[in-house]
Amino acid sequence: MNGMKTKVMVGIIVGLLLLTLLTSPVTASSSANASDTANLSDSAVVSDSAAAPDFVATSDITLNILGNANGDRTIDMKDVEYTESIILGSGSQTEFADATGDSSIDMLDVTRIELINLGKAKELTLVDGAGRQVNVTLPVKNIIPTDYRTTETLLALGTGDMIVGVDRAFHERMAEFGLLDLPEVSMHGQSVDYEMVLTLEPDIVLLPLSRAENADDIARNLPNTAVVVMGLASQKSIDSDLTTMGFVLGKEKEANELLSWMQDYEELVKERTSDLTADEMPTFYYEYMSGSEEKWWVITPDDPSAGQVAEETGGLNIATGLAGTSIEVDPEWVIEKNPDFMFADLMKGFDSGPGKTEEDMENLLTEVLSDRPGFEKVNAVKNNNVYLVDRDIIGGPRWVIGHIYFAKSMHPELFEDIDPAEIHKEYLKKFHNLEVAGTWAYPLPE
Amino acid sequence: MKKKLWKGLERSAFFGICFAALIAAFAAVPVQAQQATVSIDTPEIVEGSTVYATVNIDSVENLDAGQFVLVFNPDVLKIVGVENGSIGEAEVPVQWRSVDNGKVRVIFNLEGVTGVSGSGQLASVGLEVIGGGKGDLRISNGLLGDTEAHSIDTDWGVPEASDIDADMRDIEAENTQKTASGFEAVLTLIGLTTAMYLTRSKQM
Repeated sequence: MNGMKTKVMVGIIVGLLLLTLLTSPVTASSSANASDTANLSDSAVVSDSAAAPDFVATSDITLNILGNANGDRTIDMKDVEYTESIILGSGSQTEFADATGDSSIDMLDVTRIELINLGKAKELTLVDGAGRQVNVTLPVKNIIPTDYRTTETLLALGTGDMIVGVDRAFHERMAEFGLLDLPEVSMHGQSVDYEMVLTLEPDIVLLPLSRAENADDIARNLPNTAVVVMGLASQKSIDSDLTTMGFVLGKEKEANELLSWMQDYEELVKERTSDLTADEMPTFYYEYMSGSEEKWWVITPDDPSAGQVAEETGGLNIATGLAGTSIEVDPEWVIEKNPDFMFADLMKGFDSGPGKTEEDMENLLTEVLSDRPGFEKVNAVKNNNVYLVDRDIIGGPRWVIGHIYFAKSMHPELFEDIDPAEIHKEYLKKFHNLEVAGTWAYPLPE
Repeated sequence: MKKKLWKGLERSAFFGICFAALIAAFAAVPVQAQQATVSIDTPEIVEGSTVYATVNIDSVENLDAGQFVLVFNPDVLKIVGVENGSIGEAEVPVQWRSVDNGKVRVIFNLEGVTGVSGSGQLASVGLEVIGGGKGDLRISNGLLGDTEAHSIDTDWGVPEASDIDADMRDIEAENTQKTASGFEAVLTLIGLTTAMYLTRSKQM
């Protein structure tokens, strides 16, 4: 009996060996077929000079996912129709029409778009904040944001049950949002604990824009994980990246709701300040203190986050035209510029915000203005137009609160009915179901 | 003792070959079944008449969408319409557009993404015969896609091929040949081993 078993075993081994030898030509056949599509001479090949179709995006917000052929904020049957028009030769090629990412726009893309639209796609390809094409397996179940402001934005979409790890700063600076039991896997996207991340088996690891250059290196250390760079903390990129992540995470409705909320307030500021002439716009100086260096830096309009938040608020940044996003400047330069308003961005994050009272902030303001010889001559100081702003209402979805605060500080008469503190409460309640006491800006303009 | 060991080894080899052959046979069947065939039937053309050519499809599985270009002699033929085809009860809705003199691009996309299998017609092509000579109607640059957005292995018919299609088919044919000759080798080996085994069994 044992002899029989041995013979069968040896037989199976011989058989498997034989099969291994014989399967090679089949593989060759498959690869030849795969190249078939790419070699179709008449298929619409993606060109670099792709022209946008006439109806493309009335706003700058785009869903950065392959398959969004018409460049709007979603993937639907309009993308199917548009891709068909490209293949037939009546539509112009667009950036995201090549849904399969095979460098050819053909009917396979149409099927992929339909699968995405119907929620049947097993994967999709997004273009992240670093311009990288990243394949994401669907449905996404577990995510790890490695930057605390990204975490806040994702929580506003109702993804709390999907987050399996956070960065240390989230626990230190945003404890009010919870997730206290989750492991810490990084610090601002730096020092990623690869072993821990792999143990948590996330589908997506999100990096902030500041880590764009390291994204490929980090991805190499995290096999079978989609490593995605997203600008969810920055005013300039949050709209499109929020739209993209909302789609990928199956939170399209929630993302649109948050976007509308931000856009409504942004529009309100624009409406009320658009008629101001240059003479009616005061000058302002906007500074922040680096957490490690204990010195103040001026923020220019080129800063994609804070610099942009202060733009179009009815004032003129005295740092306009300076090279860079933030620069250490000589106090004499500030005195010479003599700004009408001064805003100090409390980047360090522990002196303002949750739990802080107006009294705490008043003391902080005194401290901020101390040891600045010559500043007493500056209009902003002379006229009590110096304001403290917590970075929490400058970054992430709360940027719009800071935006309103800037506008109301410089033009209280245009925003009598608007209270930034109330809008902050509204945000916390509406998108996080939280009520948090604290002071994020001081003084509150009357 | 040696004889017994040799006999045992023979049996093992026989089992092994049979096992391999069985698995190879099962594996080979789906590969064969995936090949679809597209062909075009052109009726006799008489100057001044309007005729219909059909683009036929055979043995397709999970077809969802596709495209091809109809190439023809524009001095002889003028395409006046491309009508929907059907596979079983499923309609194949087509769209078409002239892309060049003597070239019409046709695309089709079945409703939903459920796919259709079987044989039928992809399209019916209305042709006005405007001149004498050869119409040279053929298909080029064809692509069929399944419900997973993957291309379907398709034989588009050698005579109607464009140069590039023909090149691709040569590569495919070469590989198919390799696969076929490998499979034949297995069958030959099985035959020889069985014969040898039976002969030796009789001798014992």
